[in-house]
Amino acid sequence: MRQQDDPRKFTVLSQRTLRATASRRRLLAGATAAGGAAVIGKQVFATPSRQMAYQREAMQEEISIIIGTLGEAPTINPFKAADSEENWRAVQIFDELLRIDPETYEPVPGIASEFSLDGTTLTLNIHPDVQFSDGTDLTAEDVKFTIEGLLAPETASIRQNKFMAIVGAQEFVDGAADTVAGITVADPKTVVIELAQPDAAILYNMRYVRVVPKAQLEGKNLGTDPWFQSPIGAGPFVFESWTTGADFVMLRNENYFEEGKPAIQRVTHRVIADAQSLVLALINNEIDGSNYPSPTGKQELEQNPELAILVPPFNSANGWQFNTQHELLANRDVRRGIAMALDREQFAADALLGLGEAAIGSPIAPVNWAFDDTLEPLPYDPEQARQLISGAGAEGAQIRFVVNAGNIQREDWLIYTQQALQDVGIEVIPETAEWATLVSAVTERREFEVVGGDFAGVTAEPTELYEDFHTNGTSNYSSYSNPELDALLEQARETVDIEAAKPIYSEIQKIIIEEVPFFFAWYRPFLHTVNQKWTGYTDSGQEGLFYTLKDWTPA
Amino acid sequence: MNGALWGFIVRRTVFLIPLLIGLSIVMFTLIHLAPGDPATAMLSPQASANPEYLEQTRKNMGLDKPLPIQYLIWLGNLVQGDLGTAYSFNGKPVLDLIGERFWGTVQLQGVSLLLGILIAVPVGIVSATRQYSAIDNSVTVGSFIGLALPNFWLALMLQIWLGVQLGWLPTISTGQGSQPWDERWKYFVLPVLVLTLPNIAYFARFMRSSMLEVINQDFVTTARAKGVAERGVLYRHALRNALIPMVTVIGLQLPRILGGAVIIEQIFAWPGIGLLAWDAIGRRDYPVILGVTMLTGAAIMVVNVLVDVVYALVDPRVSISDRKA
Repeated sequence: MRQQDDPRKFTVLSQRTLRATASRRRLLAGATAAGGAAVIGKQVFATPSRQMAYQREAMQEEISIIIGTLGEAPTINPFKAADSEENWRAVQIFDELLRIDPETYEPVPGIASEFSLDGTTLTLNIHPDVQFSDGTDLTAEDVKFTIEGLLAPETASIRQNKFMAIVGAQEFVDGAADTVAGITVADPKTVVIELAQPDAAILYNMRYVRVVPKAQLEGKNLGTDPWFQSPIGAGPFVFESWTTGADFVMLRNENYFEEGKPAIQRVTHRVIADAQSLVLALINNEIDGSNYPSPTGKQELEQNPELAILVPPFNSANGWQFNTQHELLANRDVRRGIAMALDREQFAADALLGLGEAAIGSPIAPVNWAFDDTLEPLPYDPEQARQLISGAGAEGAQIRFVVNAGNIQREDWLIYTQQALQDVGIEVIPETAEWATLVSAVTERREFEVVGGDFAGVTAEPTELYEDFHTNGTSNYSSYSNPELDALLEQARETVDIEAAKPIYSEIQKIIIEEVPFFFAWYRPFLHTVNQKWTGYTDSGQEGLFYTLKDWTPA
Repeated sequence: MNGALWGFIVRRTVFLIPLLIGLSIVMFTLIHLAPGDPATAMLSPQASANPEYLEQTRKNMGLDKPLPIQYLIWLGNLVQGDLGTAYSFNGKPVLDLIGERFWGTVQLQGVSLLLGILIAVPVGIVSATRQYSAIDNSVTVGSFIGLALPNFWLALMLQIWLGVQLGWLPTISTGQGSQPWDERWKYFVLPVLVLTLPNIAYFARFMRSSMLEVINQDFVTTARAKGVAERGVLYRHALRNALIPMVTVIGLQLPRILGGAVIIEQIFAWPGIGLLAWDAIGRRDYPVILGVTMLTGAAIMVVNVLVDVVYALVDPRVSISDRKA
């Protein structure tokens, strides 16, 4: 929402993005730009008033919304949900113990309507009216059961490590205890959680407690049980049906605890796997909104005056992540030399459609409270870059740079980098890899030299930097090790007070900018689009447009 | 139908079994050779992959066992008609997933194949009988254009023109299932059109050359010499013979009905078998990949047998007994 009046919204898209690199999407974008104008002539798009039966009728008995998505969630199991579509569906069906404010990312009440963190004691009071959609009460026992489910090894939840600070969690995981000692059911609506050490992220992580009914799941493997194919939760919407590759349908939860919500009675989450078709479906009012129209489609979308086109706040930055195990990249001078040879401002102006921006090298998203906007980026200085690189004996070196195939901006970044580094004496071997292949190579085998993916950096919860850059971090794919940074990350993780944590994060950002284990160089632009017949929405960089769908009403 | 033919059918059918087993071994090996696995493919960009997570996820999927054991388990289930359950796709059984997509693909591909044949055969005949005429030349040029047009470009242009600009047709097709038929047919028009055009071009070229070949043969000249009317020459003598090679050509296109068309399904959001396989590969969803490839593989083999049988039935010159050797 805060971006709605942003002047960038009206910037003309850069024509340079039509540069001839062979890629289907690029051909499509070009075809629309050229063919669209040639074939269609003056009157480019039909006025939306020309409604047909397949288009959404304004006056329907049922309040129904159709949301378009490019990729489909593989599962709606809240213990397994990892990507944004899975998380969104899980949140709509199960809600969250604590939610986050979609604009500031601060923890706010959810299923627990009151909470207090006193040192290492977290007390959560469940809202008295919360019921599962089948009408049974949601109790503190269900909350305890859910947290234990997240910790249980057989669930194989990617969020297990977020709850390890709880007293007795390790014993439970090791099988030495049947229950987690630090989670106490004080009364049917009150849970008290004791932490072994202060944990700044624990409030934030309570959003991953998407409470499931213990009575229906006790004794089952929460990672694999078929119960999750048509589950029951306490969220604003109830699972109705799921035709894979097509429509995922939810209905209003008539037992939802928030008075009078949601207004929307039927939600259809529709897969439109082709980016160009998604834009056309939005223009044609065949769907109500989407988080995924390609930024290249902005001018087309503006043909439909009914659409609100929002540029959401930036998430964490893109750039290059270095494998510090590589004999040359282990040298800080080589990494700095590469960073200083790349003109972030130029790239942002050329390739980011007038919507993205250059970043200063911080791993934290600009809207986050921990982001320090006074920090200075490394300067663009090809001369000094050349000296650093030759001084390190890296002149003429061949280094492999890889991005995931199909991400236009990262492919452009790769091409730009190849050209720029040629001038300072490094030969880039450009590579693209399909997503699953890249994930496996980077995260599991760490077989990469330089990668342009989002394998590090945070948007909402800065303590996650510990995993990305601490010597013992589970997602420290750079294999970066710096005792000074380690100490700061440990300290930040245990500093619950935000004001006290800010200067620590300043130091952390400074080290990452100067040492460049990851060169955070530019912010990738996104567009969020919604038909203006809806109101009450809050746009969010990390959560997208539909996180607070329960608050939406027809305009 | 004679005994030799039955023997042929039985022999060919029995021979399919080792072929299918061979296919399954090749597919099973190939997908496990591809880098990445379902556990890593499930990770979001920023999720930390600690080794215990990956290990446990693989264990839950049965991927911790040695490969030959995994294969035998899969084969054992297959023999009992169980293709397993998907790792993603809401954990549905693979058979249900294929069933969910099957009719969508068959409807779309079947209609465009049928339309293609119905239009191409007369066009090919006219083209052949008036060789080098204005009609023939325009059919030839039209066929080449039809074959050369990238279908995704054509699809996009039609979406913009007929869908957005004129507002006659929906641009995407998901959601058609809930529409009454007097509205629902509109969702078919664009994808069928895009898939039919190259079919017409392809079949018309074959029909034309097949017809030309027959027309120039001696028995056609003989028929003319006997004084048979030109219509009779063309339709009783020439056409019936010219259609025989078409059986092969059409037969080879039949598996496409099951295999789907990934790009067109993606552009028109028409979830079919092709898109299912595509998504499954991206997610390394082994049971789904195997299920779909086995289904399409089996379909191609069965169709080949059927084509041979139909060939023997329509063309008395083809002798089954030769194949015993």
